[in-house]
This record gives sequence, structure tokens and C-alpha cells, in this order.
Amino acid sequence: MSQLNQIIASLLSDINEAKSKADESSRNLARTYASDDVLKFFPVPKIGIQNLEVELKYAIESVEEKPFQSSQSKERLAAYVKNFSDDLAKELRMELNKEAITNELYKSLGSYPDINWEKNVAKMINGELETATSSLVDFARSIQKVQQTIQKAIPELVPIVVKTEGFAAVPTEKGSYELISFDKSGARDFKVLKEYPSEKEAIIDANLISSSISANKLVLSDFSKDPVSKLDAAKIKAGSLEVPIQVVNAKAVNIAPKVLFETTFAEKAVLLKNPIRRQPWLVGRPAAAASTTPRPNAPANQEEDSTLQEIASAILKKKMIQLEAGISKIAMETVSTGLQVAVDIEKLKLVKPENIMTIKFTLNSQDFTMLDDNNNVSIL
Amino acid sequence: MITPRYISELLGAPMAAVIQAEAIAAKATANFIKEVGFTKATDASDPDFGAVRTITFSYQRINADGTTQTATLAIPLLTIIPIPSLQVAEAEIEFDLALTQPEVSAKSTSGTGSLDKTFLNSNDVRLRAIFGKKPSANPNAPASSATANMNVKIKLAQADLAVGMIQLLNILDSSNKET
Repeated sequence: MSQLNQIIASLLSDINEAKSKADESSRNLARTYASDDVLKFFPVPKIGIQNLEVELKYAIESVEEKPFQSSQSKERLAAYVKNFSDDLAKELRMELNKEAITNELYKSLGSYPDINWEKNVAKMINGELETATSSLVDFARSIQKVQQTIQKAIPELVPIVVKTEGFAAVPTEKGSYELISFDKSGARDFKVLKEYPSEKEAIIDANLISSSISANKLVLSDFSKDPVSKLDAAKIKAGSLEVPIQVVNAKAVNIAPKVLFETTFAEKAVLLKNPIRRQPWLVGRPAAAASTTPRPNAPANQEEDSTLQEIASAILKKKMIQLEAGISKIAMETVSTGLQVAVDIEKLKLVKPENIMTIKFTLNSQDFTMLDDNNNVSIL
Repeated sequence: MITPRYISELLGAPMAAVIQAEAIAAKATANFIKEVGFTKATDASDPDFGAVRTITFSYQRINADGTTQTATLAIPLLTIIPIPSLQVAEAEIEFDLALTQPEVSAKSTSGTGSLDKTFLNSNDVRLRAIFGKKPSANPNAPASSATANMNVKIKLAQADLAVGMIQLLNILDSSNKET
């Protein structure tokens, strides 16, 4: 089994060799003629091929497509991958930012993610893809591996919120966590005015406050109202914990801070004692599809909200399909098709006559003459 | 079983045969000239050919004053008999070949120049064939191992001497004169 181009190349090479054999014969005769007294006056026989027709019957055994990567196609692929990485990072940033602005749990993130985040993520994706697409052989599997790698990196690149009953440790744009209290409707109630280096510390405080509320042991003091922001503030004492708190949004109705906080904590006590059961039928979302999942190795009342990570995963999944299609298009354009053919009569005997193809080509005298730039016979 | 030969040999052989046939014909002409046109009696002035063979005859020539005179005339024989000289003006060779399994050998990378190596990265194939029977006109007829699957038609004609050949002949000619 050989490629058709190899067969034709071999035939052309054989024709040239045959012609050289004829010329060699003429050269030997020229010597004989020159040494003969009579023959030296005769023209030396020399033939030129005026026309040569070859008709070859062959059978196609298979069509082989092999990707070949020229420097041009490599450049194109690299440019495509770079654009894709930039686009993916941009879309991730836009969508995450959109969600962070509207989702109560992520509002403390402000304008997260920033342009540097986008640049770094684009660089990371590009780095992974560059290696994976260095060879177009089996690129689909390589892309899948990259998708898995990026997917694994998402928990590090996108924050989550850890929730307990009525409280949540939310990430902030400063890279720290803050403890926010949520009312029964899920709106931000008040926040603890303390920066936490990780969500763990915030959750420890949340548990202290919750258990104090449940045991009616929480002490409220130092009520005040910020004259500029009109935000009510107070201090709470829950066991050994003593921290200032502040309402998140200024109340429309002018209520004394003491009354406001006492009402808030009374409501919270009711909520803690009668927690809302977030049954799948209540929220209209199957448990498997819920964005909140119980934390592994954590108390039952703790759960994670990974909305941002889910958005990132969904975008990644969608974009990777586009990437595969895009690379497959480039791969298709840089593929060389070769016909594997059989030309030997033993194989052709086994092929049905209708499957036998014929290739015919004709060479004329010009094809056996070397011409210079001016179309004159070259002296070479 | 006939041993399969390279296509170049199968194509080159009839072409060389045409040239050799023409040379044999030329040699015959040369021999004819030597034998018919010259005597074999060599002397110092003509060591190879001997003297020009002539036909001598006498006849009665009438002079202007009306008298007759016996005249003798010697004519070279070559000038009065046709010299058999043949040259192939055009030749057409057609034959059918049955190809055998191609030989594949690893390609040497030299000579590919700056061409993309991956594009030309293939092995060399050499074809061998035996002369075969012309395939049947009936397309459904079964092919036998001797049925040809390649048809070659070559039309040959006398070619002008190549520049190199002319140079070679000039050198040989001058070297002859010099000796």
C-alpha cells in the first residue's frame, strides 16, 4: 500500500531514468562514430521523446488524512489560542462581576474581579493551552485535560461563601472575609466590624453569636448612629467575644438604634429556633443542582455557596466546546489527504472492476527539455 | 515466471534499442561504403580504405572535325549506385505492463532543500513490472496475474544534438586530426 503521489513520483522518476539510459547509449555511440572513418560523417543517433502517455489502473485502499503543521499554521493556532484565552478570561471576569454586584452574598467583593485577575487568568489558560495544542494529534483529549486542569484551579481563583444559620462569611475585595447577618428574606442585616483572614475564623464567631442568641445570652451595648452615613451601630458580647456591629443599609424609618437591634436579634432568635427548611420543593431546585452544598468535615449547619464557581465552570464548559470546534477547523485546514492505493496486479485481481480507477498522464517534448528564463533550451 | 524489472529499465530498453538499431543501420551503411566504394588494396597513401573503386569504360568520342577518338572514363562506383542509408525519423512504442508490489525504502532527507519536511516526509517507492496482456475490452472480465494495469505509449523522433554532445564530437574530431 503506497500513496498515489509516491506512485506517480516513482513513475516520473523511472521515465527520466529511462531517457537517461537512451542518452547514455547515444553517448557511447558518439565515441564509436568518432573513431570510425566513415561513421564520423554520420549523425549520431539520438532520440527525443515527443510524447509519452501513461495509463495506470489502480485501486484506492484507503484515504489517509495526516495533519501537517507548517510554521504558518502553528502561528495561526497560537494566535487563536491566545485570543481564546483572552476572551475566556474576559467573559469570566464580566460574568463573575455581574453576579458579585447583584448577589447579596458576594456584594462585599465590590468590583471583583479586577483587570489584573483577568490578565493573570488569561495567561494561565494560554500557558495550559499552548502546551496542549503543540501537536494537533488527538487535540480533543488534550483540550479535555486542559479543561480539567482549569476546572481544578477554579476553587483557588474564585471565592465561595460559607453560611451557617443566619450568618455568612463573605469574601471582600481586600482579600479578607467579613461576617454578615442575613434576615429571613435573605437580605443583608448587619455586619460584624472585624476583618477575618479566612472564613474559618468568621464562622467560629458566627457560631458563638448564634449560640448566644439561642441561649438568650447575647448582650447588646454601646448603641450609636453614624451622623454621616446614618447607619446604626452597637456592640455585642457573646461569651468571650466582644465585637462592634453595624447595620448594612440605613433604615428608612427613623428608629432608635437600641430598638432596631433588639428587634433584629429577637427575629434572629426566632429564626434560629425555627430554621427555614430549604427543601428542594420549596426552592424549586433539586438537591444535586443546588449551589449550596454541605461543607465536608464541617458541622451540619454549615454550607457552602459556590455560585461564582458554578458560573465560572459553566462558562469554561461552554467556551471549551467552542475551542474544540475552532481548533478542529484549523486542524482540518492543515490536513494533507493522501490516497493509499494498490497498483500491483495481484491486489487488483481481488478488487471489483468498478472500483478500479485509471490515471492517465501525458508528457511532451517540453517536459524533457530544460529551459532557461527566456524559454530557450538551457545549456545546462 | 518472468522476473519483474524496474519501470525505468522497461521504458529505457526499447528507447535504447531504437538508438542501437539506428547505429547498426549506420554501421551497415558505412560498411557498404567501405566495401563497395573502395578497393581493399591498401597502399601508403590510403592505409585503411585503399583506392576509390571506379568503373572504367571506353567509348568512341566524335571530335569537332568529325573524326572519332577512343576515350576512357573512370567514375567512382559510389556515385552511380544508391547508398542504403536509413534513419529512424519517428518511432512509436506501446506496451502494457503488469505492476508488482511496490518496493518501499526509507527516503533520504537530502535534496529536499527548504521545502517543508513534513509535507514531503514520505518514503521512496520503486515500481517493478512485467510485460502483461492487454486488458480485456469487457470490463467485467476477470483479471489474471499477467493482465496489464499500465499502458505506456512513447513517441520518439530524432532529436537535435544537445550542446554537450556537439562539444564532445568536436573534441573527438579535433583529437583525431591531431594524431
